[in-house]
Amino acid sequence: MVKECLEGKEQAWHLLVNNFSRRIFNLAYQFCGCYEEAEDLTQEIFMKIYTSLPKYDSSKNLTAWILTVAKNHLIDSYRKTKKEKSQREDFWQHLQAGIEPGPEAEMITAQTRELIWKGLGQLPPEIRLAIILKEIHGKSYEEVAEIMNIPVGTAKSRINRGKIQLARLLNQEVSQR
Amino acid sequence: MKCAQINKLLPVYLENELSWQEKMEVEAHLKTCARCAADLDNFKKISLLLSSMPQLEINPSLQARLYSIPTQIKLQPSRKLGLLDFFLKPSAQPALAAAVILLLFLSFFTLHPDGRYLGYSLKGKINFSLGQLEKTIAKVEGFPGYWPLVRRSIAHSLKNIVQGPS
Ligand SMILES: [Zn+2]
Repeated sequence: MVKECLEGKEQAWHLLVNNFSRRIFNLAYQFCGCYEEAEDLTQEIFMKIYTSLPKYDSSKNLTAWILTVAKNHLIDSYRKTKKEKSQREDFWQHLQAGIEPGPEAEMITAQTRELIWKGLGQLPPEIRLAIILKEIHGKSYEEVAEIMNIPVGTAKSRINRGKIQLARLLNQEVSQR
Repeated sequence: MKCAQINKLLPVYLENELSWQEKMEVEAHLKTCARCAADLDNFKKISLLLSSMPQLEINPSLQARLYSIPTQIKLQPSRKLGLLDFFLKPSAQPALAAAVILLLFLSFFTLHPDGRYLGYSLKGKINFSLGQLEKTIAKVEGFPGYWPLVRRSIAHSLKNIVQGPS
């Protein structure tokens, strides 16, 4: 696919976009918490992917490589803009109506979901991204480490620290009730 | 172990990544401490919430923009090939105007029957005009190192016009 993209085959690029656009957009949205900004970030990430394709080493995992490009761009743009922590939009406003709540979803109030969503924005960017990759995107510690270019132990401790911080938020919420 | 220490181990415990000894300690503590047991529930809740977070659909207009990235990038060639870009810049217009006037001026003399004879006295003026042109172009922002090349080729053409092909 990458080779064909480099040869200028339009179909190959479309295939790559189809494969990764939704994933990258959601990753960007979960990271920055703003729908429009996530759209811009997604476009910028795909520009970077396209221009970096000649540097892609075909012996490596394409998904991990693409997610690394995304991670670098997300962290860099966070550092440049230094967004306020409280700017995250309500997650649910962008969900299409009619999504069936699963059995677990019924047990957990929408309020708690929203609390976790907003809580993500209070985590330092590296911890936030590691949590998103591990917990939302279902990556293993090893995959998170590869994508973020850090040792596995560091990935583990980041993810655990992030969870402890989110749990603290839940505790505060409970004690306020 | 104290609650704070147990708390730090809880996410690792849920991932089943604790040593056998730590695992035993955590489990013993959870049986006697309601607060840590509640914390464990919170960690479970967080993992569940995050893993069940719905994925949003991508906006079709964004998808279309992503498809067109190769065309967009082809339409804006890199600076190395950007000579044409330079001539299309509004700020390049004075330089272009100067060049056109210079060439008109030259053609007037060179097409004149006596042009060949006027040629030599013109050479000084041409060099002066070239200098002026160069200064104007140098003011245009973002013009990279092509000028020496352009200048050489213009000078060569002018020499041909004035002195006849060498
Ligand atoms: Zn305890």
